Amino acid sequence: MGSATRVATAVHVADQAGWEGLIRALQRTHAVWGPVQEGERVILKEITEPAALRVDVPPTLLPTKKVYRAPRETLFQFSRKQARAAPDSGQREAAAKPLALVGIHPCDLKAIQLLDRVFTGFFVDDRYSARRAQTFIIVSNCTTPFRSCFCTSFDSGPFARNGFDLAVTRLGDRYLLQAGSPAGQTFLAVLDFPAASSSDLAELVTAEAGARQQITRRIDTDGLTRLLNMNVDHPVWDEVADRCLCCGACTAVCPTCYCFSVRDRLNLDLETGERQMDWTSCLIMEFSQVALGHNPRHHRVARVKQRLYHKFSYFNDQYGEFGCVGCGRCVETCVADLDPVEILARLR
Amino acid sequence: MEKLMTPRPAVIERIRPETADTLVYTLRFAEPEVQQGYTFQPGQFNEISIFGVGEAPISISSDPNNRETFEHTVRVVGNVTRALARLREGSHVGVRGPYGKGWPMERLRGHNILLIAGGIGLAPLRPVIQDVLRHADLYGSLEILYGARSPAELLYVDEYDVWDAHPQIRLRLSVDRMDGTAAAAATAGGGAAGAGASNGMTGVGVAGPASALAGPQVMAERVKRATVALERYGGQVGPVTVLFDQMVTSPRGAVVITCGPEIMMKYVALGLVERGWSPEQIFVSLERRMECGVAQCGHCQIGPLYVCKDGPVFCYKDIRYLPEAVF
Repeated sequence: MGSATRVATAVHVADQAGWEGLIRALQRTHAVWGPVQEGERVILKEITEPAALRVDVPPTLLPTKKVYRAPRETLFQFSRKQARAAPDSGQREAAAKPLALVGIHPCDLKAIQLLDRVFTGFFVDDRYSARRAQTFIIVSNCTTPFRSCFCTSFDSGPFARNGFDLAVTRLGDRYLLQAGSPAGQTFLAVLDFPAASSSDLAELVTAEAGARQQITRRIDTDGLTRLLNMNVDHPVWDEVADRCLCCGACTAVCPTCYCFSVRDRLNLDLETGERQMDWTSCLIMEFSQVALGHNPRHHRVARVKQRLYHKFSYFNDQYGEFGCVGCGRCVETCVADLDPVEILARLR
Repeated sequence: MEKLMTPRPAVIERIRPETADTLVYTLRFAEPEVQQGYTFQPGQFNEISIFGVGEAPISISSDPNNRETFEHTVRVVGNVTRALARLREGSHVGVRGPYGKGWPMERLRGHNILLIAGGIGLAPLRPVIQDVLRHADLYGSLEILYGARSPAELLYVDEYDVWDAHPQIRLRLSVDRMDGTAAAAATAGGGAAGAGASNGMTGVGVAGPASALAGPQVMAERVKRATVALERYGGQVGPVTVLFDQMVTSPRGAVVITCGPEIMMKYVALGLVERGWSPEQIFVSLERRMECGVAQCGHCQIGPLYVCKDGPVFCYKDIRYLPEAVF
């Protein structure tokens, strides 16, 4: 598990074979998940072959929330006749190997830290915190940003600062490795990779500066919350609402969108079933609807605003930081080409 | 999340038909240690489960001093409440809670209270009335202004005399219209088309054929009592704000607690501010879609607030300018 502060440790260097050996070593104790290229898409999935794991690819289609809070999860089983809930999923979970996330981007790591606040801040979700506590994280620093990225706006990239066990930076055929937690340090020590040379270290610094420079898309966060609060009726919201299909794709791919719905699914015996939670979206009409049909966000413009105000204003009030990490997934996914960088610039 | 969201079994000890579409359930947790450990504050809510149908957040409407059982006053408006109406005494439901921030009890104690309710909105306020009845020395006066759409829809009709007879309590009633006559109520009750048709269903009343809702005779009797109560307690026709002219509580050192349709609370708050009350003295209880009750599912958010965690009771001063509250 990532510690809150970075442990100052030496940088080590691995070649391709060494890197794959590292993943293999991790696989002995962990279920290793990481980015895998599948056709045009990059998918976050469990790795069997270490060579399949890619650290130089665009953000995964779905972010890491899918391992901490899957798109559909069972809360408990029930029997109607007995009117009892029987939680049993905890036992299944305990038998499974702990999780290692390898090659996730710094923005996604930041998103995990934000979701920690949501799922363990006010009320503690045991399942989430158990999954979190046992996760070994190898973050992959981005030396080549991707076209929709704007992580520098939220200080969530291109290089990670904390919250990881190991950080890897790929420079050509070398993998530069640095521990960020005692667990990472121990793991790295066992592998006994050579220390980085001074030219490696210099290259690392240059790589971060270079990546930073390439990220030109930016949300000006200075006074952003206030700006939003003063522009609740700005014409841009109607324009966005006219284009937005309220399909919820952006919320599905967003690493910090966490809303879910609860529903009962009955088995075919009509007697037993499961209560499940499914990802949902504040953009969907029924999201806020209450009994007798009243809906405080009946109009699309209200739903569009809710999503963006939550990211850039309300989340700050609730959890002390912006709710966006600048990964660019929503921009890549939106069929109506909506882009928060452009939308928020309109308010300036 | 399964720990946070797993209900405990509770037995329905008693079902009392309250109006043509509303029932009062007396519940007790099936496991004695759960019941023993259960306490709530007036204004808080539970999540009630009917397995296979779903879960609904429902405010607790009973005396917080009663540790043996607790009550919910439930209007049949959706899937869960409709399924609930088909249950019988002795049936089990799932319950988890209590959730949310209730009425500001610390603040109410030692002060005069102006309680303004509309329709089913009286339910989460009833625990306050019962606490005043039980611990009168802790409170100043309690003035209750209660409005419903018609006499047939006034809740807790049989408790009014006890409330108003208390030296510290004054009750005034209003109805939007007087059409809830005994005859109208007779068709609105358990069997015939009246209320059922108006709820988008035909022929079987709001909860289906086997519900525990009051039948026509019971409702006719009730409406008679409601009509008497209206006469006795200054009955006015109009929104609850028509009672403001009869109001005796003065703003100085008093606190307002109000619950009802949001539009009603809006005009209550505006009307009181006009009469010299400060927004800081007014507390409202909001309704939003809530699925988890523990500030994680996201549905109930208004601006930066989670209604399930930060509310449902809010100080009017804190929410009057929020973009999505109707205030």
